[in-house]
Amino acid sequence: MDNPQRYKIEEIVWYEVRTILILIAIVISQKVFLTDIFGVSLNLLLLLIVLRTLIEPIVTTARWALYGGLILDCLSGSWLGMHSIGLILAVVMVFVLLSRITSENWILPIVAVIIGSVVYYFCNGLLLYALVGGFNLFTYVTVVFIPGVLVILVPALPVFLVLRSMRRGELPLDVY
Amino acid sequence: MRDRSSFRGGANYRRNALIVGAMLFMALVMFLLDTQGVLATVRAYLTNSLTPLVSAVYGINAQAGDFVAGSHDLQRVIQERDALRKENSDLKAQILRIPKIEIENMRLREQLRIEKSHPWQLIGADISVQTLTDGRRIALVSAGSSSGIKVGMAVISRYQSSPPALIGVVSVVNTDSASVTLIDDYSSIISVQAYHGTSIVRGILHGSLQVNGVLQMSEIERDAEVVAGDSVVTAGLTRLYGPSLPNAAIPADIPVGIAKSAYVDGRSKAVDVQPYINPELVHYVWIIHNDTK
Repeated sequence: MDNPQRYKIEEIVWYEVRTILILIAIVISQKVFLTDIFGVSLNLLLLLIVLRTLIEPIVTTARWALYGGLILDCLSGSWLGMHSIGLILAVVMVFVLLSRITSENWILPIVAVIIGSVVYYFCNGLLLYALVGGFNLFTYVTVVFIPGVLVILVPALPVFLVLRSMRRGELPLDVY
Repeated sequence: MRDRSSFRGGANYRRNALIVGAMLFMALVMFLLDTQGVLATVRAYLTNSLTPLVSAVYGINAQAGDFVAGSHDLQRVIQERDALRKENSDLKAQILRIPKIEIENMRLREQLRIEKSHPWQLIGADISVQTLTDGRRIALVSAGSSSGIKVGMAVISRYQSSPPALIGVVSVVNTDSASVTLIDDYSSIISVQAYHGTSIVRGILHGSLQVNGVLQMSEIERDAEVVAGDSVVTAGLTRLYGPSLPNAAIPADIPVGIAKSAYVDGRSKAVDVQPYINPELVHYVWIIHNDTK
C-alpha cells in the first residue's frame, strides 16, 4: 500500500484476497472467453498489468504481476514463478523507460505494450529455451513472440482509456 | 494519475524499489525451487484447488455456446418446443435427463469397445481446459492420483471417424486432476514406428509449435522406406530400454497419425506426421491405466 495511512490487518488481507480473486477471474476468462485468432490468443493479463503500470503505483502493479503470474503458472503446468518473473520485469521496464512521459499522450499505451510484451515474451522464451528440451527458438519467435506482440497491440489504446477513466471517474473523450 | 514519485527520484524511491525487487527475488526463488521439484506439492495443491473453478467456467461457456448455436436454427427449436409441449411433466423431466445419460452411455460403450479390441484398461476423464499459456499445448483433465493416474501414462481419444489415437502423455498428477502434455507441444518426445509394407521404421516423434498441428518424426535411418500414407504408431521403446522411466507406461502400437511427407535431413531421414486427432478438438479422453490385463 502506498498510502501512508495505516491499514488494519483484516483490510490488508481483504485487499490481497480481492486482488487474487480478480486475477483468477482474468486468467480464466483470458482462456475461456477470448477466442484464438489464427492460433494466437490475446494475453489479457499482460495487457492489463502493463497498462496499469502507466496509471497506478508500481508496487500495486508489481503485486498484480506476481500474483497473476503464479495463478497462470498453477493453471498452465509451468514452474511456479516463471510467468511472474516475465511480468514483473515487463512492469519494471515499462516504468523505468516511460515514467517521465505524461499519461495524456495517447501513443504512450502503444509504446508501453510493445516494451512490456517484448520483455515478457523474451523472458519466457529464454527460460523455456534454457529448461525445456526440444524447444525451438526460431519457431517460438515466429509462432508465439511476434503474433503475441501484434495481437496485444490491437486493444491497447481502448483498454488504456477505459482504465484511465475508471481511475479518474470520467469518460474517455479527450484523446484524439 | 500516475504516482510519479513512487519509483524514481521521490521520497518513496528506495522503499518501492526494495518491494519490487523483493517480489522479483521471491518469484526467482520460487522458480528455482520448483525446477528442483521442491515446490511440486504446493503447485499440485494450488492446481487441484483451481481446477474445479476452471472446469465450471469452461462448462458454463460451452453450454452458452451450444445455446447460441442452437438458437440459429429457429425452425428446429420451434418444432422441438411444440413436441415437448405434448409431453407431461414427468416425461419432460426424463427427456431433460436423457442427453446426459446418452453421453455417459456412449462414452462407456466406446471405452468398452476400445478395451475389447486392445489390451488396455482405460480411465475416462473430461478435459477441463487446454493450453492456458502461450505456445504450450497442455490440457488439464479431471482425474488424478485418486483414480490411479500416474506420470507417463498415455492419453488417447477419438474424434469423429478417427481410430482411438494418442493425444498426449500425463506429465503432472494431482489428487483429482492431472496435466497432460499434448503430442503437439514442443516438449513432447515419443518413440514411434511407421509401418511400410512388411517393414517397420522406428524414429522419435517431436511436437512443434506449428499451427497446423503437423508433427516431426526424426532419427530415421537414411535409407529407410517411408512414404506418405504409412501409419505411425507408438513404439514403446522406453519400456524395452528403460522400464523404470515414466514413459515406460506408454504401450506399443497406439495409433498416432499418418505420414504426410518424407525428406532427408542431414545423415538421417525425417517425416512430417499428420496426427489422427487434433488434440484441441477433444473434450473427453481415456488414460491407458494398464495394458497387460
